[in-house]
Formats: sequence, C-alpha cells, structure tokens
Amino acid sequence: MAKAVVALVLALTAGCAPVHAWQRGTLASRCMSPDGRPSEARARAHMLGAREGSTGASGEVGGGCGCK
Amino acid sequence: MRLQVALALCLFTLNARADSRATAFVSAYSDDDDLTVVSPEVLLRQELSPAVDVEASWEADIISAASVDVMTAASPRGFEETRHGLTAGVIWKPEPEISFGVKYLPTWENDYSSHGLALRTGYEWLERRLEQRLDLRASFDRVGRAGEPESEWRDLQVVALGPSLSYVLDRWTVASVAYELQAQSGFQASPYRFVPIDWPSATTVSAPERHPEWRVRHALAAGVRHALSRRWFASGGYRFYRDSWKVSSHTADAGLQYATARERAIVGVDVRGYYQGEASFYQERYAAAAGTLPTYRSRDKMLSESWSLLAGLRGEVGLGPVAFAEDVRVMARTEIYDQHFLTFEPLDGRRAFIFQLGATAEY
Repeated sequence: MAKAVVALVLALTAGCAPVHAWQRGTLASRCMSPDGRPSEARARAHMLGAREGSTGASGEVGGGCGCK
Repeated sequence: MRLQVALALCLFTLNARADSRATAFVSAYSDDDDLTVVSPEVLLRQELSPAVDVEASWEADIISAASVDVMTAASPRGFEETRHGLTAGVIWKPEPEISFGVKYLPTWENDYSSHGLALRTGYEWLERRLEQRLDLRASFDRVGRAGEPESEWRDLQVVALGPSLSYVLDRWTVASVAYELQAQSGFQASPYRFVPIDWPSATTVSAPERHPEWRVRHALAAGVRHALSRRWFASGGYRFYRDSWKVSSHTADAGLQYATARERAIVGVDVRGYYQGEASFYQERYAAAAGTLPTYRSRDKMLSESWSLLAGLRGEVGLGPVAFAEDVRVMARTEIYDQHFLTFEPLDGRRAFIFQLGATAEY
C-alpha cells in the first residue's frame, strides 16, 4: 500500500505545468476547498460512522461515541 | 505583468476569508426504523495572532430510538439519551507554509465516555502546490450500560495515524489522497445486544454479543476537485477500506456545484454509493456446534453485508457584512439515505431523511 501511495504521488508531481500565484484565483473558491465546511463534514462522518462498518481517511477528527 | 499581479491581489482579497469565525449548526436525522437524532453544534475559531488560532466547540446528539434491534435487546419501549462532546484546540503557524494543531475531545453520555487527543501537522511546499498533512489521534473510552456503575464499565483504546496529500494539478484542479491506519483495543461489542443461537436440541438461546478485542483498520481515499468554469465545480472521490475483521468496503462519491458572482450564492448536488462485505465471524443465524457457543458472535448490522445510497442538495447564501462580522453565510442541506442489509435477519433496510441548517459569521 505504501508503494501505491508513492507511485500516486510521483504520478501527480510529474510533468505538470507550474501554477503561478496570479493563476490561483479559481483555486481560492469556496467550492474548491475541502476544509471549508468542517461542521457539515464532521456531521456526515459521524452519521455514516454510526451506520456503516467502515471509517477513516475522511480528514475529520471526532470524539468517540457509543452510537448505536 | 503588473496588471496580472494587481489582478491576482484583487482576487485573493475578494476570496480572502477572515481567520476568526463563529458557526452555529444543527443536523436532524430521522429514519423509518424509528430512530431520530438531532445534533446541534456551536464552533468558535479565534485568531489570537497571525501565527496562533484557538478553537472550541460543543456538540450534542439528542437520540430517540425504538429501532428493531433496540426493541429486541435493550428496552421494550426504546430509549432516549443525549451525548455531549466538546473540543478545545490550538493551531500554530510558525511560517505561512507550516502549521501544527492540537485538540482535546471529551465526549460523554449515560453509558459511554471518551477522552480524545488529536495532533495535526501541515506543510505546504513546491511553491504551495503540494500540501501534506499528518494526523495522529488517540482516545481512551469507557463502555458500559445505562445505570451501571462506571467502575464496571470496560475499556476501549483507539489510536489512528493519517497522512494525506493535496496537490494543485493545474489552475482548475486539485487532487488529494489520504490514508488512515486505526487500531482499536478493548471492548468492541454492544453491552445491550444478545445474539440468538440455535442449540442442537432444537431450542434457541440468547448469548451476549462478543466481538474480538483487537481490530486494525485501513482506509485509502483519493479525490479530485475541478473547476469546469468560473461558476461550475465538480468533485469526485473513492475510498477503499479493509480491516482485520475482514470487513471490506468501497465508497464512491461525486458532486456538482454552481457559484454565482462573488460567491454570494452556491448551490450543489452530490451522490454517494457504498458497499461493504460482512465480518468474518458474522453470521445471519448462529448454530451452536456440539453444545459450544461460537467464540465470536454478533447481532450488529454494521458488520453485515450491506449497501447504501446517499443523495443531497445543498444551498448557501452570503449575507455580507452584518454587525461585527465581515461576512455571514447561511447554509441549508437536505439528504436522503437509503441503506439495505443483505444478511441482517431483523431488518432489510432503512430509509432516512437528513436536514441540516447552519450559519457562520466570519470576522
């Protein structure tokens, strides 16, 4: 699995054109930010974590619970 | 060149968001298995200096349940309870590209308590095109039954490590990959659930649920966000999960958003599909061999084979400056969640409706 992650990183970083500061206006959009809605992301991860048998890699950190 | 720099500065100013914010949020879940959960949350993030932010939040789950496995196990009338959770944290940015965060997360309810600690480091490099993060989390939980003295509750420890990368592919596209390794040690069954077991003498007995006390969980996720134009944005992701109980799952999601000029309003739609296989020791119906109870036995539908679909609509409006706030944004979201259990005898599936409402003041 580590090799797969490294290969993915190398694929992402190879052969891409530079993106200058004045070209990043679109990237600054709220719609492009994965961290812009912490309450919604946490609520969704919490709801799904209490109803499905898998969890993790969502980027959200929540407290433990005895959710049924 | 000067015009380009000036335009870039303007764009960053227009899109720059204040570091201090206050959020009030509520989520309401209700399904046709008679489970209702209302979850309010208040979150405050305050910039103390350009390098230091502090964060605090309170959240609760107000639960009213008469679901099929609750009715057959815990109480003939179902139950109601409230879970509270707090967070308190500090984020330190010694340099614009470097960040460190620490957070304490206690939660408690009448049959469960948890003390969690979360650490996060972040570093942006390659001219801030590549962001790497490392999350470390540990929690020390106590699991018991309502009304039981806490001295009789059992321990559960959870440790998780999660590296992630986010990369700017081009001026319209950001890709990300995340991995999480989680280890759980301790009591991981439900103290309320009993498992029916067919005995050789053609009778059925009920035995307390028993799960292994060790579980190692792996999750690997990849996602991409792409600006189709200045107003339209698409996203997609996939996650693979596997653990030492042999539960494996596949999750795929996709979304589409539209933003008006200056992002005064944003609307979006997203869908998510999920499938999981059952745990190695899970059986829809247990039979005792030679009069001996199965070592591990479960009545937990979360460990059965299942699939689900989640679809949602979201809207967000920026109200602009209000009182002390530079910008106030209000959001609303509605979702439908359809879950199907393929090997859970008491319940074929459930359908839930979820509604969320929130407001954030940035100042």
